[in-house]
Amino acid sequence: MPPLPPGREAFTLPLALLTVAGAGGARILPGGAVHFEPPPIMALVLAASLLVLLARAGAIAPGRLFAPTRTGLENATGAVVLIALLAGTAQIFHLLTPTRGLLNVSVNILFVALLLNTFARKTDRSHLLWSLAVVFGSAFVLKFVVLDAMATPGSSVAAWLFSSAVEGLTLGAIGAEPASPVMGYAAFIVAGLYLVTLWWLPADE
Amino acid sequence: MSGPSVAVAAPRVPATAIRAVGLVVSLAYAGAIGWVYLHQPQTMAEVRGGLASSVGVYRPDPIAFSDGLRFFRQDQFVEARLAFDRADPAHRDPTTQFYVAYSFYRQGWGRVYADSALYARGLEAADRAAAASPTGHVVVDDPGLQMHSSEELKAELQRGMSHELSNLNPMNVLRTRK
Repeated sequence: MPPLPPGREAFTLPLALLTVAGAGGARILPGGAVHFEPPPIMALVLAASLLVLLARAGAIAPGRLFAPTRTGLENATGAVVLIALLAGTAQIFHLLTPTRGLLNVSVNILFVALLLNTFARKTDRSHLLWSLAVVFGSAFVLKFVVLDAMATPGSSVAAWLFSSAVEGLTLGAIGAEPASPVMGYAAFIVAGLYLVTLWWLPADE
Repeated sequence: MSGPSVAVAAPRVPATAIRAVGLVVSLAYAGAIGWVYLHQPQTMAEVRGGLASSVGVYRPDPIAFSDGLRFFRQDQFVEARLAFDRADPAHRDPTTQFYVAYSFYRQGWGRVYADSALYARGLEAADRAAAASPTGHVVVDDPGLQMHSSEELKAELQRGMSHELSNLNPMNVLRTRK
């Protein structure tokens, strides 16, 4: 198996994943204020589970990043990639999950069910990565298109459809909360960078 | 007539050097992200000031600070705070933040009642002053002030915000502003 180019291992992967980890916790409020949220325990658990799945599907080969046959410096750069991957993955789950309310619980349960389902049926790298893109894409649409439309003053078709489906619940109970319009664009870029970075990871070939 | 071409190989950077530099850059980047999460800066000025303060090179603007002090002594508290904000845009200078807190105290002080909203903002500024100080408290040796430490100021602000029976004491009207 060819070794990973040192530039990718020492610069591209850690910097991309650390950017995801840092920007994934940024929350831009309607007034323009920014605050940074560390990932909750649930996001860390989901992230650790996904890393196990990625290794099982061969989407990441931990042995190519951290192994007794590598030098100390090589293992140090590999460890940074693995830690940044865990932090970035946790922040992606945190970013794409509604902050609170009914949908927070529902989406977390859905993530657990999807991870368990993928674990039960053995899958390969390509299918797992496409599946992740679909799951994260759907979570993005739910949080930043549907819920944002509901929390934004003024009606829209999406808001009307969704509020009809969950009639009787308040916005707070559902988990909708106002955010800056910039937040959706920022989340799109962060989630996209994360998915692209997953393709760059050293895989079992 | 052309001479023989000579292929010159570009010097290659050794993999060890790439890894070493990459490791240092990654750790520095991770440290900067950790700092941002810990300190929650709201503006770029706060980011710059915070990073400068963490390496001990942050200094407030002395001209804007003396402007603020002049306004403060003339009881022009809003103007004073604007000048202090220019002097210390990152809110990282203990002395400036102490005066900001003091300005909220003096502006909010009343013989019959204290303005809780202003006192609350004063308390925030006093907390910022204490947090920005390496010792965790601030002492300002200004003869024009009756409270010289951040603890005294915080206690006075907290007393002003509390709602107790002693607040109804008619003798309170004889109190003086510190």
